[in-house]
Amino acid sequence: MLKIYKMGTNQLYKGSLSTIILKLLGENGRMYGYQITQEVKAISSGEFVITEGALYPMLHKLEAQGLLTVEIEMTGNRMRKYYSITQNGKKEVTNLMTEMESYIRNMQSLLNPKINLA
Amino acid sequence: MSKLLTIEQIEELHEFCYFRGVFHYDVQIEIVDHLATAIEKLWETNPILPFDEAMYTIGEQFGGDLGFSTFSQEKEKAVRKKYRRLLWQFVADYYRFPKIIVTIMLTLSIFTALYFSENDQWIIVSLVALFFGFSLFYGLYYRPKYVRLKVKKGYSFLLNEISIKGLLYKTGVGFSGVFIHEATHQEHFSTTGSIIFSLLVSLYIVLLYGDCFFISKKIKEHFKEQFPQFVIA
Repeated sequence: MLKIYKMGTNQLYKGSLSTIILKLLGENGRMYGYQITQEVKAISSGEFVITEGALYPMLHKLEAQGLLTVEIEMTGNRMRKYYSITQNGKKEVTNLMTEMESYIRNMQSLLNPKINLA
Repeated sequence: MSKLLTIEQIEELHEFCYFRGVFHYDVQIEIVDHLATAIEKLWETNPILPFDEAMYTIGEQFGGDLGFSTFSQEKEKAVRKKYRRLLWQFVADYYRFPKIIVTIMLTLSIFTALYFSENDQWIIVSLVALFFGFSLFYGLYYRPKYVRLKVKKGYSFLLNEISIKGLLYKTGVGFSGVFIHEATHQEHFSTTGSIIFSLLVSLYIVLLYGDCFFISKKIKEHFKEQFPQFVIA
């Protein structure tokens, strides 16, 4: 199981987390913190777990950068904070996805070079 | 039907956060919702688990005491960053057409005053006096009356207390010290010195104006949008 703890030590995970959050919000519309952790866990069949210590600072950072926007609503007896992606966030997720795909492609070429038999 | 938390239990979760160093209600909201959702999930598989036990179990998963205080600090940093970004956008606007005319006029006025005055000391002392006069007016009269929102008793909100004026104010005091020192040691700035001084002062005035009037207004608007039920006046 891959656990993402408080970020800072691993730049790769740190970069991936913002991409994951923005991509999820881009596809699902607005979501709240706990829902994001559960969604990531479900999609990755429990292989990828985002801890609260990593998720919330990243959500707050993305909000501060203007990539996410926030709405607070009453749900049952408590208030809930929903995050949605902004127009700038949508642009950013496209850039991040391109970077990520290129990174994965390059890593695959480096780690599994095709043997040319011709 | 799954078991849900009561109003009293939600209040207990707010207290739980408070005693772990998360003092602001608007910061607590997100943690409380996270803990409450996690407890309700736990109750789906173990409905007889007492609330207190569930609260401490989930609280530990949140990273214990350190997890709470880190959350709080990170949140405060992010809020400050958000409004700092807005402030720089505001300033950038004053360096683009048509608002740049205001900045140019301001810079030219200060420069002209320095250029034609026989003694720069009076201009510097007047600017410093204006700065302290404005600080007194803003801090003692304008901010309490027009900026700070009155919220329900017993609640403290980060958004209502956040201020980036601290840094700007210290910068102003620092500048005042340096300029008074310069003014007492020489009667006239050189032309280059006058240009730099005029540019710095005009930038500072735009920053201070943006922070005191524009950012404060934005924070107030955001607060009213997010927590209308807590606003008294």
